[in-house]
Amino acid sequence: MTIEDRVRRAVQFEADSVPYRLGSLPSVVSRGKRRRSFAGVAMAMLMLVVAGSVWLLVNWFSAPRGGDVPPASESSADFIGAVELGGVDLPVTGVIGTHGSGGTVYAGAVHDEPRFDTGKLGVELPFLSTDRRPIPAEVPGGEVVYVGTVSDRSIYLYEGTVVDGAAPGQLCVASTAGIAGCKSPGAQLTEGAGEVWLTGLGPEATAVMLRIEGAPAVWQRPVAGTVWLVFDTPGNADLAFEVYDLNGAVVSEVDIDQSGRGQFDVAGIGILVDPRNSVLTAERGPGARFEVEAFGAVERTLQPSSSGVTIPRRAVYLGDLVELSEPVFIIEGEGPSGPEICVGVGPKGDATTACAPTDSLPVKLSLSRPGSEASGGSVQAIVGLKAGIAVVVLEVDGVPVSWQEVIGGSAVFEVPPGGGTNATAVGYDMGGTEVARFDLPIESTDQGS
Amino acid sequence: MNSGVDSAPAVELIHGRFEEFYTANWERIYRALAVMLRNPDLAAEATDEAMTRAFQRWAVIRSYDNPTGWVYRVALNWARSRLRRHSREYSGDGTDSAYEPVLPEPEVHRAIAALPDHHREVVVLRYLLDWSEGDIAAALGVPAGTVKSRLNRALSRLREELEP
Repeated sequence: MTIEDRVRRAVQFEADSVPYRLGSLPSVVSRGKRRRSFAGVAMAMLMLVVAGSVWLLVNWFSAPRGGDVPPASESSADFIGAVELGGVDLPVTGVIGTHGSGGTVYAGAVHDEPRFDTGKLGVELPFLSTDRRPIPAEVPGGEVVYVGTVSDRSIYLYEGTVVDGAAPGQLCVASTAGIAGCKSPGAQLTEGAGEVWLTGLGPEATAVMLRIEGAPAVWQRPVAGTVWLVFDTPGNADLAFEVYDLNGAVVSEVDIDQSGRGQFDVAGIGILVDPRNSVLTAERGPGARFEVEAFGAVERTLQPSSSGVTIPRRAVYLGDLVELSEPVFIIEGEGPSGPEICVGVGPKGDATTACAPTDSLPVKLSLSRPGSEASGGSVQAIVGLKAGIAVVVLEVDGVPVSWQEVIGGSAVFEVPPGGGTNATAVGYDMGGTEVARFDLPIESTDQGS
Repeated sequence: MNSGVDSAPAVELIHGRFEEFYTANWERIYRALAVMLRNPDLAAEATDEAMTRAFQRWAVIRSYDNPTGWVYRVALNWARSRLRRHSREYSGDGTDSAYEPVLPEPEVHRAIAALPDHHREVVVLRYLLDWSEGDIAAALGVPAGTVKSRLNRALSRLREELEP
């Protein structure tokens, strides 16, 4: 017998000796078909076991086993309800259930799949039937500092003692992929299956770029000193972060080695809030409106008809302005005199709107929020940026004040009260090189160059 | 953006194909991971996690040359990440005490277990899942030449130990 034959027999023998398990997926995978699906799987596996060798059966029944097969019936339970975390309601539809040996709980949604590890977070999410009672969820000793979406993932940042053994002041990060972990202010990098996160960034860190195999791949603004990047390059890719300050200068570089660890010196934790929701639906025609959804539920209904643009051809939701915590949206459609593009800010997205014709892009818009005129604050928007511009820095009277990732060809800034007289948007390409400058006259609306 | 078109039949079709994939591959991946990780519980959880992600991106994953390889890789990465983050959960060497298979040639098992992770990985994929070197390379995200050299080195080392 050759060495290959012996190795093949050994690994196959060992694999056959592995304790039997049933797969367990959130029912979003098999909604309405779970019973039939897993019954089929169970039958197929049973036939495999029966058809196996006598040795396998003897070993199967004689070998000591812990944490035996989790019954499929315990793997999920349909419910409709809501999760309340730190005073924030998260509407949930889908499933919730225990899973595997770790007591993992899934709170499923149509568009998202937040998952909480009860064993680590200390959050109890009891089963519900189909009623709509809120699920009592607590974060012992912790305070939710952010609930939102980054890079199309829902993340939750907690400050406080939320994990066994964690010390006060620790920052915990969770995502739809589960709890990533808790860490004292500092840096921790974790790479796996195309996800990497970095926390503990200081306030000087304004933007972070991830390089994959040396090539610029993703930009992101830190949220609560944290970036969480999701990408489609699993495995052994060479990853590195570049951390930029407000002036566009690289202030730190963080290499991520094959074990997924990195080293980074930090100065503290800065809090920036920039939630973004990735699901947006629109209706066309008179009375058109569009809706921003989060966790499968309508979060906001925006009615662009008040802007005079009645048929949205394109709608981009930019999230909430950092300073305002109010939604910002951009609508492209037909106005009274032809194609127009509008920027709106307000609780319903239409409290303040500025529009301009779209016959020459980019369009630069300036609008004042109610109450902001007296203080000199204004909202500056630049819409229709060409594809090569990845991030834009706003300079007021020559001083950098804010940094925005370009979303849908648009960047929107809040000029702080008493801000100055001239604003300039400085565009950078994916590699961090300045490629364009746009003057944004404050307190006026015009069409850009 | 929602087009407003009822996509239920398409969703059903995708679900159906994913279920076929799931049924055909869950146990294979689970067993390969269990051998690789020496921890059936973690292997099962990792396989579930990877299958969930595959389902969420199934429209893309299904077009890959080797979706099983993608799922295996994601599961292995997830499991290793889990081990790093929660090392206390997995005491000792991470071996499930309940998982002590009795093998007809224990010396072969011991020699394989003593291989470096990246060598043992290619051995498991080649001789347990019967993947080609190309499939292994795609799944691990390394060149085919690397897979070939790892396999040769692993076999050479096993020969030295088992065929002195």
